Amino acid sequence: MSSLTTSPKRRSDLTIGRIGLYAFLISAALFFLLPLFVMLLTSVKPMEEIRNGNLLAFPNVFTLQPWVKAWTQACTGLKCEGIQVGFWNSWFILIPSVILSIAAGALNGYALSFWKIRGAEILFAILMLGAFVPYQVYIFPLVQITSKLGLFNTLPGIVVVHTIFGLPVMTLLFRNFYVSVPRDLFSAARVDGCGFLRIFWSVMLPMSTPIIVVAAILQTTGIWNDFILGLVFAGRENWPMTVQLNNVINSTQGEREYNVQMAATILTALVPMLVYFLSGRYFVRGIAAGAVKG
Amino acid sequence: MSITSLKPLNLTFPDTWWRRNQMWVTPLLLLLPAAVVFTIFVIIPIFQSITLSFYDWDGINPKKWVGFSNYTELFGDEVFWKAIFNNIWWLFAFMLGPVFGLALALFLNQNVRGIRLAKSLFFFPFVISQVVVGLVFGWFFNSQFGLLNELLSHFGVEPLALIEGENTATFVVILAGLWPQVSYCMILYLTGLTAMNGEVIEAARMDGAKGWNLLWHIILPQLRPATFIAVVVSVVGALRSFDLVSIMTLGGPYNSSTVLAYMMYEQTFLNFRYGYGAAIATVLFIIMDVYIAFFLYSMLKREAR
Repeated sequence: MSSLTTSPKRRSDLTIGRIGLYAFLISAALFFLLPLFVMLLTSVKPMEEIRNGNLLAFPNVFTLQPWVKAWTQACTGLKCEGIQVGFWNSWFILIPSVILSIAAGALNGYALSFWKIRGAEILFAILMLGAFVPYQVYIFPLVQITSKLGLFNTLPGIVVVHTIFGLPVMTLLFRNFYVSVPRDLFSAARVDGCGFLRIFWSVMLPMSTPIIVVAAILQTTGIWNDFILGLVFAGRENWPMTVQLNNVINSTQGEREYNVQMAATILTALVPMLVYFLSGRYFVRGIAAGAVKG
Repeated sequence: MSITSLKPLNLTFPDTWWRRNQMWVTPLLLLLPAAVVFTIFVIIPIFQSITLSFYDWDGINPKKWVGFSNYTELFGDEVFWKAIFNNIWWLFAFMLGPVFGLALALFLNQNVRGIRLAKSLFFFPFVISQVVVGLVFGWFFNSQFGLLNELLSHFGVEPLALIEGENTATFVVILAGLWPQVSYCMILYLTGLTAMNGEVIEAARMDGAKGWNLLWHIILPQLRPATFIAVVVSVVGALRSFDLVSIMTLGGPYNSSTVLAYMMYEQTFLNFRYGYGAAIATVLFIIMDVYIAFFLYSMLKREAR
């Protein structure tokens, strides 16, 4: 892992180039952080201060009231129970979807990696199709099918939809991982008399931790951040946090409470950001590995 | 990883059909449910969408076969052409994603103090939901309460109503879309740079390559896989654009910022014109097919080499 633009010679710490680099990095970071900073500032100001303008000023009166209101009282359409409803809904959707899609992806990826068939390219192409085609192309027939199955507007329904749409990328991820496993390991277990599933369970799965972490990160952020699938398939009662957030912003009864809106927005962004900060370099690997997801 | 820890299985099993054949039957049984489910929930609906596009249906009255009339109406619909043109704008603008992404990645790929923090700041837009991105940009450009006008007012510039403007709304949405897209491409390039062969670069440096030469002739060719993926995800992202349009402008004002995916959603789920919506879906699918064909062709060609 070598750096590209610095030469291997050790330089003195401060050169003009380096100062320029820092200046660029700091200004770019500011540019990226300014909106977040303004959101944070606004979310702890009372509305009177916001009405007076000057977004960049520090609050004269610091208040956490907007956060409390966003969490417990903000109106999402007709109900005013706060963004917390969406927060819990998102978890109810997230947990089974992540577990199911990873389990299915691991099993299928394993099966594909050890199963040499002709026409594997076609199978691959079909998987790609599933990963690339915009949801809008088939979302309406899918609504009809799920409602025929009694899954439309239900929690199991949205879980099934997330699991199926996660399948191509998850399968691909695990297939690519298992293909790189030495074939001898498989053969040795075979000689020991292990069956296909037994090899998966006792040999492959224990060494899959890194790829499972990557898959979990990818699915958690992807499903948490999803908007259209939750909006269409989950049903009013189960709307995830992203949909509820959009409703909070758009339900304009009386004055627009920007401080509450900002607090709700930050709360919604919190879970993926936590995943990101806790997962470190796995996160980057996950994004690179799941790039086809788009 | 040792296999010796495995208990030796009972090898005195009778030689049954299952024992002889389970090595190919089990994977088949594993793949079968996934294939069936995928067919039912993805493949068949695509064809149902295409079929439905030849019908007139509001969901209540019986479906009526109308031949190509949904399409003739669509091609005469100003909103449709607006959506197509906006999608093309998205596509062009999103090609900046890989360019800026590469520039940022090259900049960030250094060993200086605090670089990890800087990197994580640049990942940030990609980590958060498009809903959040849309809201943040919406606030930034808001004409009454926006940060942009706040900043401009310090320079004595009159407030701008960019997101509310018919000619500017779509570009504001695209800008919002580009923000996470640049991060995304940057991450892809950073991974590519990390995986790159340092010796080749050192050797090229010894030979006196530097600056643009080094970038163009040594680094970029090695980054080709990253470039490929970055372009692919950018094209897909541009064609899929829906969330941001839905959150920032609802396609407005006067449909000026609509895109195909949003128009389809609007016609289907808000206007209940299922056949018409399906026709838009079909157009979107055809555009995507051209692209997927190109993608698969270049990928298989690459693998053949």
